[in-house]
Amino acid sequence: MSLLSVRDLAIDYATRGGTLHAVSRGTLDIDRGEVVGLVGESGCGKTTLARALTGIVPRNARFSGGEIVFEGRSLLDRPTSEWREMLWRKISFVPQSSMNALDPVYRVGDQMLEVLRLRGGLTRKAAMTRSDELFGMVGLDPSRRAEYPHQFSGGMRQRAAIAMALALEPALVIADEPVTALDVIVQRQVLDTLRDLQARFSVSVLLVTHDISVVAYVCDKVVVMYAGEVVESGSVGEVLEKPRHPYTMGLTNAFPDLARAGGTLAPISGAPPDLRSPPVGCRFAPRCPFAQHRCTTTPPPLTFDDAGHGSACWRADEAPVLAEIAKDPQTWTRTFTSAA
Amino acid sequence: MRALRLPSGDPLAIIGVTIYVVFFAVALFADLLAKDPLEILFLDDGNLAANLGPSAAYPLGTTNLGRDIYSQLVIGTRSALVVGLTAAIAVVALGTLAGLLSGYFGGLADQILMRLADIALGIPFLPFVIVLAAFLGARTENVVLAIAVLLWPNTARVIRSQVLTLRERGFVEAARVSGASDWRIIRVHVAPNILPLSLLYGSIAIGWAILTEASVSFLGFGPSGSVSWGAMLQDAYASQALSRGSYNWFVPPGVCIVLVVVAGFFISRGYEEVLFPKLKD
Amino acid sequence: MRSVAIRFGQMLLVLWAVATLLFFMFRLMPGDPTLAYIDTTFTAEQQEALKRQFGLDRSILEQYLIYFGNILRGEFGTSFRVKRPVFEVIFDVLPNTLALTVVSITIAYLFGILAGAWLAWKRGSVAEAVGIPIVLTLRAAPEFWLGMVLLAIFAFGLGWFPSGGANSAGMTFNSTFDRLTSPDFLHHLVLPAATLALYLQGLPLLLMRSNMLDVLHEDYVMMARMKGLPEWRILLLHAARNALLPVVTAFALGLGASVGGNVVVETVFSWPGLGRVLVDAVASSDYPLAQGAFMFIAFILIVMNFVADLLYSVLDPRVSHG
Repeated sequence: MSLLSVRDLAIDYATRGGTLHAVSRGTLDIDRGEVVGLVGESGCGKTTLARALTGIVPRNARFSGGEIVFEGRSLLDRPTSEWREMLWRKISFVPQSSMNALDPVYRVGDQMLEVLRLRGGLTRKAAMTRSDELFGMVGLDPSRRAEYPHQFSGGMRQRAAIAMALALEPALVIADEPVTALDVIVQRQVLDTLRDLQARFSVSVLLVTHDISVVAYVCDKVVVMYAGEVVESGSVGEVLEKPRHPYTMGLTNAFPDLARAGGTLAPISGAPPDLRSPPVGCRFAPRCPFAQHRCTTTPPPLTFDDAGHGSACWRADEAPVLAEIAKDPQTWTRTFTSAA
Repeated sequence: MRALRLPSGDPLAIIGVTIYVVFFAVALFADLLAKDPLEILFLDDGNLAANLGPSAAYPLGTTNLGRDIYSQLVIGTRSALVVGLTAAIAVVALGTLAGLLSGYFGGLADQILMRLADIALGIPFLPFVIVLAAFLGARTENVVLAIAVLLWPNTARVIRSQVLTLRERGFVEAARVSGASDWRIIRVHVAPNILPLSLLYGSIAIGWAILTEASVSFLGFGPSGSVSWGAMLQDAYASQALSRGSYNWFVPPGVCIVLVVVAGFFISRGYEEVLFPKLKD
Repeated sequence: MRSVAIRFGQMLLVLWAVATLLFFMFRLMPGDPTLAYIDTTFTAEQQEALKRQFGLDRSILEQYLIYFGNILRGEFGTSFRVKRPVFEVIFDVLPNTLALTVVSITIAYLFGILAGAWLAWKRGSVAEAVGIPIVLTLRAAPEFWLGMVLLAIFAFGLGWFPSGGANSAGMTFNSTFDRLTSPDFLHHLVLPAATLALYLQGLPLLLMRSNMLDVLHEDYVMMARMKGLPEWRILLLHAARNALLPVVTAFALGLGASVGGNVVVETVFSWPGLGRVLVDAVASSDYPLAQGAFMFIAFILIVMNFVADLLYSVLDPRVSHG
């Protein structure tokens, strides 16, 4: 029984140029105490999907299909008041850059107290004690609670954000690119803190990142998204070492040594499709070196094997062979006309 | 940039443009639409046609001196539009020039122009216009001059920051490296990009100018003997139209002022730009 | 601290420039410039004494220096019309102007801030489609005309309020404070204050609304929602608190501008205030009084511009805790 189970979630944005299908196949599972990475290029819908799991979506966004089951209950059917009651107590969030996510006109400590008292129901005194405790846990000197966000360094702000996310001991923390804005050494320190506290609280974490090396460093499972769809998911070892989707192969082949930090996504020629009018067949087909005719006409379903390794590719059976070819950088620099 | 988009689909902007078109037409054909606004009218029995209510002959009634209010209103459109347009052109021309020089050349020119802008913002607006009108003579040109001298900094600051961001972009630097003269860069690369912003500020400046001119006329420092909405209101106020309840006299000029000014606001689209220019950074 | 010193220096520069401008402006006026200080109805001895006091028999440079010395000592000469020192005349009417300004601008900003925040919250609703054009229309109405309409309806038509002045004739008071808090004064204050407030509310309202719309897109507002904080708390303590910063600055600027900008409203309601003193002085060629009133109005405006700057840095921790 997983903590969170998302099935075929679809999220649309109303834009000037028409309806944008930001997420059209959001499918993932998170078990208790598990760290799941959600990777993909920017604009692939990973941030939209992750933020939507908190229930807070932009004004122009709406859920247009699928379901979110959290602790055995469907979230989308619940009344707003019930969902709101659950916010932060059950699911909390660590933003990409806490410079903008911490309110600039309040002291960091006061923002922590706000959560502890209003949402945690603690008395002022108890909240103060707890706040100092949390500051200490993430490696911040509690005396700095009296400072304003702009007086913190980037790494300190992310630590404060992590402390705030753990304040009410939620079951799930969603972290949206939590270390992207930091330099490499600080990245590692903050990730260590996150991983350490995750284990200590046995909280589940959904970690959104574009950085495969971050996934390799801290995640148990990984979910790969492309153009609004989950195209592959499974344990980190399985997916990164035996990728079944050509997009994942493209992502991983630039990282012979996955444990080495600091890498970025391998360049795959071409650009992701316009999500206002996505391709009819497989969305990756226009950029895929292995695309066949059926790829351009019929979208492949996401299917899972017994070990829970899932992929959405018509040629998943040939994956070991294709993965070998994909290791040749030449494969990815060719330009493709539509596969005939 | 949001401010630069032409407000074609916006209902408020369409209302604004329609109001302008109507008032321009009225100003253009004023002679056909109205009689002599200063003519003193008499009734058939030889009495002064004073303080009449609206009727078929005098759609808005008459003043206490027996003048046709409707004709004054129609003819007054001209002075309102003339003041509004000339002042707006002056404000925008001065402001755009200062903003261009300040933003493009920077350095000392920038320092001097921005300090001048500070000074202009430190001069009380209406008192200055009144004193200038009183000392230089109660002529429309002086009112326009006073408006231009005090209101240019607002446009200048906006243009300046726009020019600064244009300079950040590659093409100005590229043109400079390729040996283009400053004048050519400003003319070809910078000016076309700031023109829409200037026009936007112009459409608001028309409103401020008309309001200012009306205030100055109301206070009695306007050109004497001319027919303008502000002068009509001063006339009505001084002639006890308020205590007599002659709404037909003092309501129409005010409504006309509101319509012309609000038309500029509606067109400008960026509502925040409607804030009084002297109060905006 | 350094930037405060720079701003203070700039303020002094502007004060000096405006005073200098005023000096030359009063030499632009038609006829004999010495008329700026000397009424022809004074006796010959009085005229001579005044000429010496203002250095009118000396070169223009010396006159300029004497003018500055006089300004620094608060010496603006004697009003032609009322034959009293300019400073006294100004200080007599100052409480009326301040009462009118402070009351109306406070009402306008309280209303404007709340309504602006509310309209931002109601973006895309009928309230916005109706509210914004109404606000813009009020903003486009000449203040004096708004005042005339209110006068015609509420003073002359319904007879609810007096038609002008700050106090009924024949009333006496023990102190200025007694006078300003008397029911009679407040009764006189209603219409002019309402006129000014109607006119002034548009600026804070539109400013607040546009700031709120910006702030509502900020990450910290989204985070506040994710934290499940109550809607009112997000709106007031997070969104509005941040959106308010520029409005507070505008309040200080507006206060400075209003003191001199009440000119037309004070005229419509025959309100004995600074603006009306200036208008009357200019209209009756009472040059010393006109010059003094102008300088005083400019002084308040410039100082409030400076205060607005300071206020912003105090209220924004990003500036005050640099």
